[in-house]
Amino acid sequence: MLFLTLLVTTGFAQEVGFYAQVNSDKITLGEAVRLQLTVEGADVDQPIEIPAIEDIETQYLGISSNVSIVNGKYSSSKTFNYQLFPLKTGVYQIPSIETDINGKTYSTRAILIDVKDSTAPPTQAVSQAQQQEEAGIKDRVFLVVKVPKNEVYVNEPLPVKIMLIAGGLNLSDIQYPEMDTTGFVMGNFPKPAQYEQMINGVVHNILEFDTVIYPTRTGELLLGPATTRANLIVQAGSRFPSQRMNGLFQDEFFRSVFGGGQRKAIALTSNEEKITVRPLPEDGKPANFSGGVGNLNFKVEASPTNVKVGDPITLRMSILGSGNKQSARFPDLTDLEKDFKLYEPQIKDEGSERYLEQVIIPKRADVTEIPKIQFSFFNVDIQQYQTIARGPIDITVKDLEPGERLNVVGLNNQTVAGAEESLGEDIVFIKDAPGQLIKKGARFYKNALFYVFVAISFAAWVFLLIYYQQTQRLQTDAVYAKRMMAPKKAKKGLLQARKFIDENKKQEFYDTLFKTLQHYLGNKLHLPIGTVTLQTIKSHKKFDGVDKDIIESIRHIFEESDLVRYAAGQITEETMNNSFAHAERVIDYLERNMK
Amino acid sequence: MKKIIFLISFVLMLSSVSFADMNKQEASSIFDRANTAYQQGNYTEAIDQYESILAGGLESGPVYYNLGNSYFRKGRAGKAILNYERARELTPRDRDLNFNYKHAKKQILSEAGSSGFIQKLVASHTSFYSISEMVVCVTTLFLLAGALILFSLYLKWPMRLVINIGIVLDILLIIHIGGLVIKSQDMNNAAIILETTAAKFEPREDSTTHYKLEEGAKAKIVKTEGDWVKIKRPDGKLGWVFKQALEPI
Repeated sequence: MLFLTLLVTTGFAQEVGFYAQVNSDKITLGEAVRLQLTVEGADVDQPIEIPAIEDIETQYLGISSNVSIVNGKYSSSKTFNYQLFPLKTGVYQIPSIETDINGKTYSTRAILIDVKDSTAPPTQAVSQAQQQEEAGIKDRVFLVVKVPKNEVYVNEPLPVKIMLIAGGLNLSDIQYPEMDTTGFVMGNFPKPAQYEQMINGVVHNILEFDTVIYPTRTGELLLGPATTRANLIVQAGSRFPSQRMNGLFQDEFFRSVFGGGQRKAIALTSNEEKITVRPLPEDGKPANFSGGVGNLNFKVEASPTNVKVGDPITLRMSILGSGNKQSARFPDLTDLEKDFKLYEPQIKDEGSERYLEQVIIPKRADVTEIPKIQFSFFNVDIQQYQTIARGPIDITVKDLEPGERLNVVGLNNQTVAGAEESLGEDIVFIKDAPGQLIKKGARFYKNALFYVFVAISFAAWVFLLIYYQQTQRLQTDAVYAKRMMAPKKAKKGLLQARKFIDENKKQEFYDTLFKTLQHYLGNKLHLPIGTVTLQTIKSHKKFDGVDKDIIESIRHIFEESDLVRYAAGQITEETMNNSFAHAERVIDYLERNMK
Repeated sequence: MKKIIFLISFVLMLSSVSFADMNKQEASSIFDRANTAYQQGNYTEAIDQYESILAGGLESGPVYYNLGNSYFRKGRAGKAILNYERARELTPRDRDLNFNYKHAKKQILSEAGSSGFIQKLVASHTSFYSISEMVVCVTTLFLLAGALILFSLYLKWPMRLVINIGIVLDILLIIHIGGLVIKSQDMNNAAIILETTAAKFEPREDSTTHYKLEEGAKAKIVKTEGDWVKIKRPDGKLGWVFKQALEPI
């Protein structure tokens, strides 16, 4: 309470102040400056906006408050913290910053910051700083794609180096580079090499990714650009100049112990390399050319070489050396089929070797050798086609002992168990035809017509069901059938009566009108026709609540029908029309109101 | 009235007709080129070509199958399984496809615990049909059941015959509706993990790892938040993974 009292009584006495300060006005490129804007004697909560400064990235860090009471004098301040990160060397000016406090405008003084090149030797720092004034961070970290030559044959192996070069800056979390390799097949990156190299008198750290690419089509192709991402370690202030801590890879431990810096993500893009890919020459191309390109070698081994008829021999053919082995086909062995049964080969890659293992089984005891096998490829070193021949390999094949079972599958149509038919497992080959191509994602059950079809089918089904029930009831429920048929019959009767009006047949008209109404009421009230009189109708419980006008109309029709028998002369066409209208009104009313 | 019916039919037809960017002849020739690249061992080129057919708005079981093979040869088994899964929706009874699918899964996924007889039966039923085929089956069975009721009424079929046929239809309907529901739930928001990754408790890189997801594993996308996706493993465990680590089927 005492504290609050002091605060209230002394608070108004403090003058309002607005100041700017930086933790250092001389830094090296790659470091950041901490800018503090302090407001004294006023309560400001919103961060103060800083004008944009060219080539400096600004980041708001947060607010801190300070309250002090010294010798009974109370003072309070709020400090807004910012980090300024220069992107180039040079002298920068943080301009005067203005803000409104309690309706009055306050401003800070302008501050100069000198950003020097971090790689300049101390003795020449000033002169080099001037020369490299415009050197930006991206000039100190860059990605380069290098190839030993720009003209190659199709499928020729081409070594590629992707070099990440950093001069005096710390990087971490470097990603493996990615590269646009349209028209090339690219190998994987092994672990990159790291070394230092002097470039223009400055030590640069280099991270080198080596791989090999194989062009798959001829023409002018573009390799790259390669891209990668990394984090630049940014030191706040100059307490721990980052470039002096260690090498390219900043050590997490040291950074955490000594305060460390912040990470700034950077993306790097390399140059492109134009590669001219020539087709392989047609001159001297062997008929059995394998498609292999490079400086290749070829080996053939067979084991065991001493077998009985039906025993398997494993023939192993290997393609070695430097070059595109993936594009090389192994020699065709169909010529061996007259002496051997051949099983499906297995092709595998092991290190720099690509090999094929094929089980061959001698069919007869008189087979003495595995014939010569030839492998042809294009040697890029001598720029000529080259053929390597291996074999023949001598083998000894003995006949089976009497009673011994032949253990070959499929020889002379004899099926004998023994040799494993399945020697490995791999995926089944691709399909020859694209099949039925449809619009992507198109499924008939997503089509509106399908739902229309289902809805129509359901509606038809419901209709047929109701129709059946209706028909059944009409056939079995006489009361219901009479009631349902009453309006139909009445309509027919009225039509007939209308005809008699037109023909001016008074007697026939009233007979028809009376009968129509009598039958209608009989069916509707389930009364025998002969008992339908005005009295029976009025006393029927279904007639409770029926309008008096309607009963009056019925009475009118019945009386008119009687009158015509005795005084037909009094009946005019108008009287008939009037009676007809009464009948129509009665039937219409009862159809609407009587179930 | 006739005019109105015609107009409605026409609008419905228009709403159902849509066009792909690529014609089928063009797609066939790209398919052939991709096959040639594959046979020459140029799998990257083959992948590019097959993908271009899909980018052109067309698809088929063999396109996904061959694309799956190409990814498998490139050592990207997760992508291979993803494309085999897509192919299975179009050509579910292709024996080569099912063999390759199982083979690719066997190469990268550790053996899951053996499932019971019922689970195996359900799995074999749902994998035998595509969703489209299941919809056809269910619709046809419903129509047959409706027709059976009408025939029994109008043609006075013997009650015993109607009951026997009705029981058979009901059993088939229950099996197919159940299969359709299970398959739809299985395929809805399903995704394949493209690279072995860690599922985190929270969508942050420095969050604690909850469990590991193997390449080619199936998971359900629960929701997406920025670069992170919340997924559910078949055993019900939830976790957050990077969006790039998976792709919806």
